[in-house]
Amino acid sequence: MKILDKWLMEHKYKIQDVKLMMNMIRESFLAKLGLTIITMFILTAIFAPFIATQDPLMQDLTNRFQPPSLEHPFGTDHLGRDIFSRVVYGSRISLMMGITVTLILFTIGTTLGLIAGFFGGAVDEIIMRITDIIMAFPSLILAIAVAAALGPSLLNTMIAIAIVGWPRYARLARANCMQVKNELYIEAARAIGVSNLRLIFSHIFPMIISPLIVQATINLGGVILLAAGLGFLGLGAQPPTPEWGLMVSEGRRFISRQWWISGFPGLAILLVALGFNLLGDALRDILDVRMRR
Amino acid sequence: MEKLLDVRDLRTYFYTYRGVVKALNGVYLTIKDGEVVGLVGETGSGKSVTARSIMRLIDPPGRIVGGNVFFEGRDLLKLSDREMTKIRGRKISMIFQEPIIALNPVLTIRTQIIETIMANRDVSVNEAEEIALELLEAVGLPNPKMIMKRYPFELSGGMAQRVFIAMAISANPRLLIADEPTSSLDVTIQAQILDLLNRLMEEGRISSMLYITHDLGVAAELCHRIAVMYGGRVIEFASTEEIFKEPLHPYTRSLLKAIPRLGYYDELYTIPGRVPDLVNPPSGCMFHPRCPYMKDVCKKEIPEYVEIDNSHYVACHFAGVKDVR
Amino acid sequence: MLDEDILVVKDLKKYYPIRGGLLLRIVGYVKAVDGVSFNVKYRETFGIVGESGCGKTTLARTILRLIEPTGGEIYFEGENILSYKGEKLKDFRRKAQIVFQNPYMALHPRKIVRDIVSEPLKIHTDLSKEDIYDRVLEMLEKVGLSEEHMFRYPHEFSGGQRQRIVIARALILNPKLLVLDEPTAALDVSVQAKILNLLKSLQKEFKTTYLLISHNLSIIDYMCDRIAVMYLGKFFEIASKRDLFKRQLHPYTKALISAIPLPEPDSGRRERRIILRGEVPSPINPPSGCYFSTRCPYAQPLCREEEPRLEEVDEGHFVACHYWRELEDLG
Repeated sequence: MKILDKWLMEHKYKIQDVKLMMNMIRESFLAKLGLTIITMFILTAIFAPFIATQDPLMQDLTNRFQPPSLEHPFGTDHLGRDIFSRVVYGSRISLMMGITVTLILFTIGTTLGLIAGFFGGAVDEIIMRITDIIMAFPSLILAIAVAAALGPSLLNTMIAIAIVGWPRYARLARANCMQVKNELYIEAARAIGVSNLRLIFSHIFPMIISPLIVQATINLGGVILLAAGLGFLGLGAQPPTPEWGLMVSEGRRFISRQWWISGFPGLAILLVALGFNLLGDALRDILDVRMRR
Repeated sequence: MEKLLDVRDLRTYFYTYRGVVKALNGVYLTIKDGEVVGLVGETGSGKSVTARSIMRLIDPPGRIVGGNVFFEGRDLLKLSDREMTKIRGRKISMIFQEPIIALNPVLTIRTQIIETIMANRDVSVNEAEEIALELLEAVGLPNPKMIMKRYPFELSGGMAQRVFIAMAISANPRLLIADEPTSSLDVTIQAQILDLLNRLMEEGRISSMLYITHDLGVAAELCHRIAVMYGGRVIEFASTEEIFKEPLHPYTRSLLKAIPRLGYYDELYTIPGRVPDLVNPPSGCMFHPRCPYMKDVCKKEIPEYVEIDNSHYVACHFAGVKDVR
Repeated sequence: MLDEDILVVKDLKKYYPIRGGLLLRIVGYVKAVDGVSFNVKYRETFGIVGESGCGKTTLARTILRLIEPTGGEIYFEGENILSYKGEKLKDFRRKAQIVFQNPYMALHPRKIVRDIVSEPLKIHTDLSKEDIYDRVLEMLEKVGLSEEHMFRYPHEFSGGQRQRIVIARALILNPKLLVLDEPTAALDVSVQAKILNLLKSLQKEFKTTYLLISHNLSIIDYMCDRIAVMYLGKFFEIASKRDLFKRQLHPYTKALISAIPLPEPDSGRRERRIILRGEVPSPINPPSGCYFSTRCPYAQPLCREEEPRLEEVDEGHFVACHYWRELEDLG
């Protein structure tokens, strides 16, 4: 009992935060919509084998170009594959890619940003000039260039997106770090003898994590979109992988007559990107409220 | 002397998400013509809220919920907003703790002081300029012409406070409310400002003043009478002499013993406990949980604010009883 | 250098460059600390009093090497700490601690009290989790807090309580030197009394040396054994408390003491008060000669030409004024 009490006291604010978050999501329609979309997306990805009606790779040339029906809810493509099953399996690829890439972006960007902001001087100059160079290019074009140079594959797509994406996190982390590092409690920690490394990750990082999480949530949609874009251009996943961007690309030849081949994967991309954006916006509002407390 | 200001049972509440903060719980205060009254108390005792309530400058979520503020015989709380605007600045003016923030940062001193003078007096721009120069000279600013061209951020804290005092006395108000005007200044600068206020009183440029401070030393120096606030009430009000020599309220006594003084090295007296939570104030006397002389009645009944000796007001059940120990 | 000194500071300087112009060249210096020398004895409380902008806070931080000085030497227990690096510096941090002026900002807002107070132990010792817990609890009880406070966040505490947490963190490693930078300036009178009493009793218990910095002479007088008066980055007078309040030799010290409003009615001080002219000059363009000459009521031509040196005029009583003898005869 005593241990439980202590735990509850220690985590009182975290519990309150979760409650507050739930309340705010409940109050906002858009936040609820975003959360619903993302939840469905994640559940679909996890339970793909149970949701899909057939093997996403199975071809059935006798059943080509079937329009949506009870048997094939999203219709079939030019090779007779069930589009519904392919979209369902595609969610796994998108989710896996989105989360992995975002984690990499987050880690690299935040670490470099914190280092630049904390130490300043030449280190800061070098890191920030690199971000300037990367951010000077439109991200899709740079990603295309990197993906083309590395050769088309799912792994290379992830590397390309990671190279393009980290500067955002670095800049955000740096700006916040520079603000926080001048706070009195950071100086107080230095006076105790806290090492620089511990100062950065145990004292400064917890203070700047909120805007980074918002950034990451909004960015997740963007990453998925970018991956789909590379797939569409043939620089990402290769056939017959059920990747959404690739599927849109494959169906584009038939778009005027068999709209469903491109239409449903396109819709999936749209919904997921929208969902992450809505959720990210809602999170920002919630974290703002928490800051004010 | 007649009463210039007579505050009776003033109550101001703030309606916050935590609940109703009862910032003022029946404040009584009088200021006679030509008098300087000090309002002392610690953070959260209601000093500033009292001043703002008198000026009717309480913004939502705050609201004045009861009482009277008689000024020259009229109840300020019953005036229309337009009538009140005419009182502010002309009859009652105010100076603040942070003069640099209280001045508009993007306008020159000249613009601000002339605007103030013209708002309150029926004069032309040229006349206002002359009055302004004369006032800046009167508040001890060297080279007033130079000062007029400056922006607030170019002035030091002491200079900005002098400019603010000049603006506040420009309309020859009957009452000047000073809300901790020297708290953000250094001691030697504070000494200059206190000296200035004393001189302006002697010259008749300031007629009456309500001086809010947390520093009993400053109050002792400047004021004729002192009102001590605690938990949103004036708990003792007497002449400066009596407050320091014969304080009757246990809080006043404790407070006096808690101040470090030059040349005294005994352990400082400390008041146990904390200031009352004004959302859930203690029952009875607000001070009872911290009072060394607490009796049962203190927990149950709110002590009335009564005149014990000649013009010595106290809100304590045992104020008349000498040495309750 | 005597063995009785825990801290010896020699000719310490901290200049901040001011950059200007198109190329951001250095166009001048703010001399925040400008050649300060003093020593602090074991277990005493040494006070530094001065008005805002006199450099007392910069001095405190420089002594703890939170700011690197421009010049001078600092000896702590006989060793020059300016050469310290890595482990040596970490060890110095264990022995010299600081309590900041603003307890509202000196505590990490996202950490609970247990984590805040235990951090020095985690960094400097290899105690087990249980031992750390016990030590933290013991320390919190010494500063007047209890076990229930351990799991709360700083924003749940009043200013006085937060300052107690700051003090607990500073003293948990039993440092030899504690720098107190305006420890009660942000607090109310009744809370201030509690903190000052607490600091006094903790000093007795832990046998700590205090370096107290304040603008409030009454507090300095109550707490300190010896006092230094600082103005525009320089020391004007150093003396034992007894000497300083009986016999102020520097006109600035006199003005400073006479400027304190006393909580006594009719003390008659108003008439005797020395009101200084003008304000503290900018440390970017300090006056020539004696820095106080622009405000000094007794300034002579020599004062504007030649800077007086801080000299020992009586045992342990230092003053930097050309005319202290004449002023003393003047009364």
